[in-house]
Amino acid sequence: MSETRGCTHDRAFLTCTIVANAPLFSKPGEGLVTEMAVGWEGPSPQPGQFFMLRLVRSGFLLARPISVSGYTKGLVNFLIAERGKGSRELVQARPGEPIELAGPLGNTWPGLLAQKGNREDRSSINLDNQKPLALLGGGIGIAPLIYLSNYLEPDTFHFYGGFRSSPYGLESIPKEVLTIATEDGSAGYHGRIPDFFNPERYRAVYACGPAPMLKRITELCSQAGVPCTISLEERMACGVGACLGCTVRTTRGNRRCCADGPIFPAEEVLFDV
Amino acid sequence: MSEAPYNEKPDLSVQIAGITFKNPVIAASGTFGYGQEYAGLMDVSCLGGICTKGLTLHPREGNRGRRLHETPSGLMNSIGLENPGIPAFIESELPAMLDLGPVIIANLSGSTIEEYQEGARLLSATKIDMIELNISCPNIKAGGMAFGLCPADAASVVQAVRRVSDKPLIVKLSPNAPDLVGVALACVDAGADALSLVNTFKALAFDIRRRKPLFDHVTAGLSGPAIKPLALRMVWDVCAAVQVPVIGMGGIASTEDALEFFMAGASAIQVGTATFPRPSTMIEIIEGLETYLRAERISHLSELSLQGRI
Repeated sequence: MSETRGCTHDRAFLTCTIVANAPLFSKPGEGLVTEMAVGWEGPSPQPGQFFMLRLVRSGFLLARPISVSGYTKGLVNFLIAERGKGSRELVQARPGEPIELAGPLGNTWPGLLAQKGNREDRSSINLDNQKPLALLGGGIGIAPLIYLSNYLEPDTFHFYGGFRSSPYGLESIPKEVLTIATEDGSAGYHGRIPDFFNPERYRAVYACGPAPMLKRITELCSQAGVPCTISLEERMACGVGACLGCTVRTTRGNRRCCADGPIFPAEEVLFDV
Repeated sequence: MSEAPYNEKPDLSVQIAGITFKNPVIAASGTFGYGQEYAGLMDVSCLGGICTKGLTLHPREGNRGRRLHETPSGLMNSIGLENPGIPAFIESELPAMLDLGPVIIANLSGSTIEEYQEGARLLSATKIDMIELNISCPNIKAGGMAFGLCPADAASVVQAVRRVSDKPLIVKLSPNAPDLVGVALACVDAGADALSLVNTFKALAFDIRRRKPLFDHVTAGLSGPAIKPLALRMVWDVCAAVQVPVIGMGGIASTEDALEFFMAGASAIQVGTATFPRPSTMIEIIEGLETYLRAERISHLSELSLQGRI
């Protein structure tokens, strides 16, 4: 049922402490983006995985699914964008506050597990191919790709970051492999990544961002015959595959974004946009 | 009230329809998948019981469009009984479920009486411990809650299933029934061994930007702490009217919430929505009940019921 799933039950539900929550970006009308660091003594997350986050003092019922943007032993990083009231509570949280984390959850980007000899990962990504990988992040969608880039040799990938206005969160990406696009033209290319992106230069494309962007990237990759893998976002209640609230429609039937994904082969996803 | 020795581990076990639960805390249907999903985040084997996701004879894709909406202290859902169908459940999910340890309860739904009956027949041939007959799902077009809204319809489904199944039968009631106590009595008359209540409240939300209902099916089911006082009152009313064990649920998120349901007369409780944000909720309730009984020197939870004492 979940061929792309690389996850194990190596996960935990723990009360942790926020170590840092620094604003990365703030603009009226676009909301705040912060980078949050949380002390985490549980199992190590793999690139592409996420946690369910909820402040102990939360005024909301549900936890929020947030992708890992970085991890060093004992500390997990998240990029958090203010989208609604729930995420506003998270971006406004202060260092020292207790927070509950469940995770790491979900599957991982293909290829990583194959490198570690995991036979379950039937990725079509040819790691011996000489062409680089393309990592495409739209807005807050850069998070799981930033973490992935930590695992890759610097000369093996190109990173594309698309933003509405100012770019953020890309400090760890070497400038020579970084391409930036902004919708208002304030930095990098004036426009959106799918307006100029050419998949033919790459052995595979990994993308995360708004659904319209992912749909266009999927179409471009399909036309070019380049394997494309995308990380999706859905509203979630449980985060572990129990409630069936975060369904993704695919060519193989319904899949659970949280437990069968969030990473899917792009050609299987039936977009609602 | 009998005096329990202070240091003795209190006995949380309960008997429902001849089945022994090691404690009265049961994972509610639709919130716990098929029992494996929360592995690693909590010790599933500690639970008293687990209800499966709602099962139907044939596979169901569930509802299109949005399926979840958080409200103040509540959660609206419109999943639409997505499930692989009973034969696939029996083949793929049940064997591992039976190894988990807790009492396994198959939650059975359907669109027609014949479908309920055939599903019950298949489930009765397995090693599941009990069937929870779902006549209260508000999110499907035909059947489901429609059977749970009036006493005569409820009785006809319960009778039909009772005829083909020897498994202990729990009937899960809808809070949307105009005469809930009437439905409860009709189910017991028709052969229900126990009742569970409440399922979700039929509720509505609009998308004010699109000026359309938020959910494709217009209405959806409301759960979570927001419904707890309503559910508690309904459990109280049904416990006063019936002689069979009642499993109380609806917004339970803490030991204190659970204790209130035992005071209302429930024999056991189910926890659903509260597991989503805090997977440890049920384990904390089990521990909290032990602590409470020890501190209050009460030997068994059944002593908490205030039925007939107010």
